[in-house]
Amino acid sequence: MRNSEKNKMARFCDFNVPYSENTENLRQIVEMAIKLGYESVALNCTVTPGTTKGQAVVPPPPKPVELSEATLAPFMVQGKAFQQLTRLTAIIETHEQKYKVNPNNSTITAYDILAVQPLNLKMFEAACKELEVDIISLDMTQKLPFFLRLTPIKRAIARGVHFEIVYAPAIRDSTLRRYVISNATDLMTFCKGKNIVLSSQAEKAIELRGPHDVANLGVLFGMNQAQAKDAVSINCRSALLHAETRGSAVGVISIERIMKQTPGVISVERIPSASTDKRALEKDSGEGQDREDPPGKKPKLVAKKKIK
Amino acid sequence: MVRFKHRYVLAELVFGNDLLVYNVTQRVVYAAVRDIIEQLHGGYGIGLFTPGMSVKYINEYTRMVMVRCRRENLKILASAIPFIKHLPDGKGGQFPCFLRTLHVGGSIKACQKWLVQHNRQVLPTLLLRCTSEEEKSRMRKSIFDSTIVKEEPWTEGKNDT
Amino acid sequence: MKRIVSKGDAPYYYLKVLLEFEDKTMTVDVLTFRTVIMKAMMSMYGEIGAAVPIDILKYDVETMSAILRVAGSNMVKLWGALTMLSYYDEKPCAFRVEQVSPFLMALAASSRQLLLHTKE
Repeated sequence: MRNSEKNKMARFCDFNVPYSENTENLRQIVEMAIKLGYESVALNCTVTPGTTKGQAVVPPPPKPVELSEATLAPFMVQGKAFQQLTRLTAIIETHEQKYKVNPNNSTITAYDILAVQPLNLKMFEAACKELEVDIISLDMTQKLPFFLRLTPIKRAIARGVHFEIVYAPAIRDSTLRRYVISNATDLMTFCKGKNIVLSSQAEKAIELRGPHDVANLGVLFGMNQAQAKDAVSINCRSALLHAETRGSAVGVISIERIMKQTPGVISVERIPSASTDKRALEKDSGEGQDREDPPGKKPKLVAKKKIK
Repeated sequence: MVRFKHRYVLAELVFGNDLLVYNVTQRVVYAAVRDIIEQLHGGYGIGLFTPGMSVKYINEYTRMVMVRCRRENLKILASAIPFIKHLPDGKGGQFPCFLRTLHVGGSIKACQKWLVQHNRQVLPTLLLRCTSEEEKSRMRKSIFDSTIVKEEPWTEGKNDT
Repeated sequence: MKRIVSKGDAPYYYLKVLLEFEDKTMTVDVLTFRTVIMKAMMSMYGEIGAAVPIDILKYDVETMSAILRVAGSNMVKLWGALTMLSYYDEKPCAFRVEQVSPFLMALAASSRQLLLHTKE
């Protein structure tokens, strides 16, 4: 198979591996993910945006896990690379917190993927309609604090925002299982299986499941076979592309600097987008960044359509 | 557009002893139905079934129970109801009983209309079962209460024997 | 040769599964394996699920891997129940489903399990 065709094949992703200081545990989880066939993993930091002054709004993104050559060997043989991304999940409850989650904050843009977990209906609607996020995550392990509505969900799908269903809590505990199933099936009736991302939130390596197994869980929740397989592969890639357009001007031009090239691993440093703030723009002009729009004009960030 | 459609199952609680000794509440019936679904259909069944399920009406004297479920879960509910073998009797024990499904309707109003008709036929037999005058009047009152529909209030005259 | 076209659910599905315990030294015999599968179906799908006929066609004690057969309409249920199992007898474990196919022949050689030699 030609290399270009290989790149279009399903690339299984798990976009919710909770980041913890316990690097040994994290390494085991990532190694298990590689063994199961995942090609892309996102280390997730969950934070409630800080409200006290002097404290950084969000912590800086975590460093990728060190993986040995032996673990990465199967990837190298096939000519693929294992991708470790960073993801931020902001738990938002008040409008104040909502405003903290915006692409102007450089620490936030340093993360590859931006996700949000709304705790009430107002935040959910804000996340679906306006917020510049890639994934909306709902805590499915309890009765949802608000009823899902069709209009915000339709709006979110049109914008290219994805909804996340997490499966490890269902595996861990049989009582949580029924909440996950009932919330997930409810979500399915509204979004009809589109724009769903299935991910693990596994705290131990034993809680991970292979990508085809997870796709079958999607079928259980109410998707059909094709949608379920998309939920672990193509929809994740779609969310990632949506995230990348945040760092670009008009969704077309972006700058990437390839940092180190250890065989089998690509880590990419994204240069944050041209800020919409006029003062910052004038400051940036000295660095010679490529800009499509003249300073002062807000670059329009358009959500990219799903690319298969 | 996305409106959940429901089905209302009207069932009669049957137990051997004709006298009403047991205190059966909505919560008790809800717990019994939920437990039987869990036993038969497991975690998956409970997850699908519980949202939208509730016990809408219960009449201890005529022993009528109305359970609501979502339209797609009707088969699960209807097939699980016969498996209920006993209910807690409020004193820590359990009394043997079963639920006899009488009618399935699409709305509470439809079920109520059917219930009125059913009561008209069954009331004479029910009154015969009551021993004291006080029980008879209580029975009559509960039947009248159950047959009152908001749009057309039934008067006592129509339900008189 | 006559061509046979079949649509819809296959009569049987064959699953190649592997039971993995967190404690690597544990092994189970075939009867316990069957109980584990039944417990998984029971916890997820209740008594009706546990009654689904599942056959173990082959079982290997050392690797704890097996080939299961289940009726087509029940395949998704079995697969989901195996995925959701996290504990057996208070020990953390996981089922790894390696291959699923309506044809037993497909399980004989799978390109997904090809081991490519790498420099050690």
